[in-house]
Amino acid sequence: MIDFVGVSKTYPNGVHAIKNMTLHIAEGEFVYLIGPTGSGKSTFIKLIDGEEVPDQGTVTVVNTNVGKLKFKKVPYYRRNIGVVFQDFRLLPNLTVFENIAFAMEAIGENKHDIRKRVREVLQLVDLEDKGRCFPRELSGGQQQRATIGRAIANRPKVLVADEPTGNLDPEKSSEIMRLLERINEEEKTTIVMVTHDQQLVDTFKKRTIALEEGYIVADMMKGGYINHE
Amino acid sequence: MIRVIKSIPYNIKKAWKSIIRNLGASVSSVFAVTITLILIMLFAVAAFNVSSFTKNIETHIQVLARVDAIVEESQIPELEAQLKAIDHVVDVRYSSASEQLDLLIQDEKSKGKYNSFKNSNPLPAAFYVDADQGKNVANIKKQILKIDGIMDANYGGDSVNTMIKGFNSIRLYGGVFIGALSFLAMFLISNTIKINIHNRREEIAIMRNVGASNGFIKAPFLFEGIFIGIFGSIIPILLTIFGYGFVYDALGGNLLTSMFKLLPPIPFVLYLSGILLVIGILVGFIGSLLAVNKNLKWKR
Repeated sequence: MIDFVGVSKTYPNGVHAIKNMTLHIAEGEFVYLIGPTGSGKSTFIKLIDGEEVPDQGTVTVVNTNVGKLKFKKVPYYRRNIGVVFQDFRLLPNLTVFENIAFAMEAIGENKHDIRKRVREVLQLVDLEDKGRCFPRELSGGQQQRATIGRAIANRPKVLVADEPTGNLDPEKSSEIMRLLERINEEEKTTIVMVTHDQQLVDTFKKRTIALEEGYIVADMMKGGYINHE
Repeated sequence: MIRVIKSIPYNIKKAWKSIIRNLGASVSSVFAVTITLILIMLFAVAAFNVSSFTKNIETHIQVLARVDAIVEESQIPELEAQLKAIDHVVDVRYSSASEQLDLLIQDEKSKGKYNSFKNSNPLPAAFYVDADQGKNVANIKKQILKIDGIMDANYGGDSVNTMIKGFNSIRLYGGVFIGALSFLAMFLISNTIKINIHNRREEIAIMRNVGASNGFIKAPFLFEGIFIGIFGSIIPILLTIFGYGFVYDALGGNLLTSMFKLLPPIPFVLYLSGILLVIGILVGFIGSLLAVNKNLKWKR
């Protein structure tokens, strides 16, 4: 599903973000990406969603060579990738239902399909009774569930979650983890989750890839947090 | 193509919402288009009518070539042939001395004071020489004066030329002024759209994230510009339809004299309304296109 082969990425300011990285993430896997600030996690995500292209090597996601992807094709490619942010980024003037529907409207889906799928998604993220609420009326955990709902609305094959529990307390974080596991199982979505939450990584054990200074320093199939400090 | 057509209701909805959300800037843009189009309408009314006047005047420009008193009646056909041979002359009509006097007597302004000349007519015979275009009249006059047997030749002369030149200047400077106003309206619309793009930057970022194509992101802003153009053209169109008809009726279809016949309201106002609507749409579209191309550039 996701293949990095000899990938390097250096920014114009001289920062070597990713260095000769090779890794394979299979379809339906749930992977943690951990590492300190500046270890290359953000660049890793940008390479997956097509925002950046590698200087060396190849990045293949959902059978697409992202580096060779024509610029105009990037939006269509991105429909395969759902992204969840730490700071939610819900549109404040739209209800939860409309926020989720927005992702489908943005790619030109028809109204009937949108309504059907949004109801399904609201059920999946356990927000059936919050569809008419505005984001400000929701708790942090509920807002993150709405964001996840928006990210999976278009049935992406890969879901990239950038510190989705970063702004939540441990109880809400576990709730989000259980939701992501459910999506991983029910929707067969491959999930790459960037996190700093040691407790979470140790509790919900998954394959864990640790980055440091652009290199993969550990790749543990059975999981567990590695402390870099 | 079907996808584009299907997306029209979505884009209209989005554009409308954006106009309402940013009402102040939208109204000022609509106002700018309205003012521009009213001025364009006034210039167009003037320009089209002046063009019609000019054509009217040009088609009626005749040179009056008066015949020397020594010319015999038998020489008239030869003179007529010589006049007809001049370049750009389309018609020559002979008017005898008595006909010339009759015309003078019949003129309202003379009030019968020339009646006493009926027995000893001092006027010479004349030819009315029609030119194909007003601009050739001066040259035709010169050619006529070279012909033996012609005493003098006259037409409205400089006054007509000045009038035509004046009308042309109005058309030229009016056009430049309208162009400048259109640019100003485009700039205002472009600025309004720029503000709207800025206000919706989060929304746009999410759209990009979920895979909305650039065209899909841009389209509502282009629709918004078109809407502003259409709304801006409503008042100028109403003014054209009702205002021109009113002025036409009030002036009795002529401006000052019957030489300046105004264009009849139908179909003129309909054509002009169509032109104003198209200009409004174009100004709105180009204004928003400028903003969209500058502010929605997406690179990696």
